Amino acid sequence: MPLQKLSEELYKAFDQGDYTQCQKILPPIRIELIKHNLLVPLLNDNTNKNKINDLRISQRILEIGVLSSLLSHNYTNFENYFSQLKPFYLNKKLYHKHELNTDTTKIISLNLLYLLSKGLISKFHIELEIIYNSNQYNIDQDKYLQFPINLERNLMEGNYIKIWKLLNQTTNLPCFEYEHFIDTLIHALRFEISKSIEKTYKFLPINNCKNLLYFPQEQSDSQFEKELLEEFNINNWRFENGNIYFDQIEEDEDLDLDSGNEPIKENPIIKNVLNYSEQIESIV
Amino acid sequence: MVDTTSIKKEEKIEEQSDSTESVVSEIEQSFSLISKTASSFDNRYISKAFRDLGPLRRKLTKSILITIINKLYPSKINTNKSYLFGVLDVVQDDNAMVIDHQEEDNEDTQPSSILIPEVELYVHLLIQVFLLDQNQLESLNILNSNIIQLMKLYNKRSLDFIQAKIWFYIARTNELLEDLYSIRPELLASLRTATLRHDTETTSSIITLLLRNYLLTHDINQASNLVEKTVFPANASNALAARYYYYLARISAIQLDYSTAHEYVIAAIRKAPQTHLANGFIQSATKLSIIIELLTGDIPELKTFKRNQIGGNFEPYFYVTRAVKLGDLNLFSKVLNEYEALFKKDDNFTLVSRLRQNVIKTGIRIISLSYSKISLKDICIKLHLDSEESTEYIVSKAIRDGVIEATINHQKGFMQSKELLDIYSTKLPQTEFDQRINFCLSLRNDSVKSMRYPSDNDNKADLNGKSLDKDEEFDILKALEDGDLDDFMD
Repeated sequence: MPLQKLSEELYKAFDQGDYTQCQKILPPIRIELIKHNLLVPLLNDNTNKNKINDLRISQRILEIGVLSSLLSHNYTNFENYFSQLKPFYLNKKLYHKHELNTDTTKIISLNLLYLLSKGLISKFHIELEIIYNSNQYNIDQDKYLQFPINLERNLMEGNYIKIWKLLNQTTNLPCFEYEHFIDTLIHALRFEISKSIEKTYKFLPINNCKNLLYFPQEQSDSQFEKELLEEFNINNWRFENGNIYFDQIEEDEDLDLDSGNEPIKENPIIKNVLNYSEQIESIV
Repeated sequence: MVDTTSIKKEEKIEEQSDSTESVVSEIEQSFSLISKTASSFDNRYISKAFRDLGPLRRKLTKSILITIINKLYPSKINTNKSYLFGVLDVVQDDNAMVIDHQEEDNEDTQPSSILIPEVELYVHLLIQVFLLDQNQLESLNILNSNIIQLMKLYNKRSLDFIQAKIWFYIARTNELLEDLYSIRPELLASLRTATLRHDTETTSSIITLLLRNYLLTHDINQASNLVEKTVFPANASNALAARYYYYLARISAIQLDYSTAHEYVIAAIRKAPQTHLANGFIQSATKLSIIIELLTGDIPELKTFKRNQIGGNFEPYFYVTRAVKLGDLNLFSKVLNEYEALFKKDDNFTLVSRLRQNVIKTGIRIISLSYSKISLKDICIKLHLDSEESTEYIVSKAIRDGVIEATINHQKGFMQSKELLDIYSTKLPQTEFDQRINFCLSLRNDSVKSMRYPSDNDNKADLNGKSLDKDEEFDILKALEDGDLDDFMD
């Protein structure tokens, strides 16, 4: 049976860390799974044990799909495999015991991290809602799930220093797959900070700014400026005499409207009043 | 719904024989109302029948139902009849006797009565309600699958209201049986049918049922997809609209869209019927609205918690509000731990735990209002934060989120609040005023639109037979006002 052979090959490639090979083997396996009606867990009451075992195997195959596409930086595939895996995790017949620090929670938390690093906060919360309300997971004690949840909480509070610490001590990470998100997360973190900074300060010495954004102090000012301009959307930052000045764009526009252009300001009033009179006329 | 069962049992013993006939005649009265709907295409009659359903429900007994079924299906062999008995049957002999007895009467008296689908479905509804009150969920489930088949046979607009109710009880059964997934395909299929046929009541009922189903399994994605893809009928009854808005509020709150969620939950509370039957609904809607209000950064008014007539346990929500109001993180974590189980029961725990950041923000806001200039170190101490650096980040995030208007001086390490703008120098009052005028105008227009004018047909009918006398009209109007109150379950 080719399915068996293929999956053995897949396991082998995955154990050896040959993720590109995994990606090559996976599509034919999926076709085989569809042929055997195993890609989607449709269970009724009289499903026998063999079928459940088969489904467990296809779940494992998909899990390898998730991990190998993550490790080979193929994020579209990562999303695809994860959404195929979801029905497995939600199926009560396959999952009736507690999941604590297992591959399941690891993969779920990887997905949470992925959503965070993409800035998809509302999707993150939708996933979280499912996790919190399922009694399969013990969130407080699960080292995998705790990580993204803490991260999001600190991000929302603006407690960036904690995140920086979390991200920088690779020894703290519960598993090595997380390292893949560190770079994107740090970038997201700096972006958040830069947005806060430009609203908060009128000006800031470049050195302090480096500190706040966690850039190394040794980095030359011009290089720092270049990197900032490339990475973040900071058109209103001016670099002058060792300081950065933040121009408040929106407020300036508001002032313009309020002061000079009287006719613009009066138009809505006229429009409104005409509208009211029209309505009142129709009533009378 | 459980306690009605016990009441009914008591009643059963007391007035077994006496009331049977009077209840049967009551049901027959409803039949005549329903047939009127069928002939006149005026759904008001059916609302009247449903208004009587509440009290009627408490009086139903098995023997009554058997009598009714026999009257409906006089012939001995009828598939519907046999399965209806099958569902009701517990003691075979007892029924057999009654059947024989009844049939003698019926075949003589009403041989030619024509069975209209409206009445047929209404009887099914009665049996559904009866089985639900008796907690015979298994047989109810069997009945439900039969009803679904039966409903597919008919295509009449006048069935709209009955179908909406029947679907409600079908979904309720599955919920009690904790079998939420199997009903979805049928619900979706009938949603399509109802939408195509413009059965507003059924459509809106099924949409709310589906949303409830998705939310019970915490399938927010599915729910929000459904909301996006469907149009909730604008002229659905208020009770259904209230429920719809409540679910919408829940969905948007989970998706972090608090301002929309707030609008929806307010709409839900306003649309909910103001009687004791809807108390449970108003309670959970109020709880949700408290949390959403807190999440948007407002503090709910004290009177929200003190509405005596609706009851409910608002204590945990009150303490959370207090913690947020004081900006006290320690108090907040204490409340959260203490009442975790209660919040989980109300399905609000994830929302409440998001409030942590709001606690900090209100703390900062209070400080910014009290001091025009304060060092970061003091803020750090006041709010029990970890370090001065993290305080700087947190304050700066608060400024960015628009919680406070301030700047930070990094070198000297203090926060300076901006002076408050005079609100009357901006356009805000004008836009606010405009909004209110427009609200009044649209209120007037809506009321003009929703007035009923008698059509020519009605006039003729009145002149001919005075078929609609004044009392009846009044009753119907009252029924319409009260709406369909019976099925607020959460």
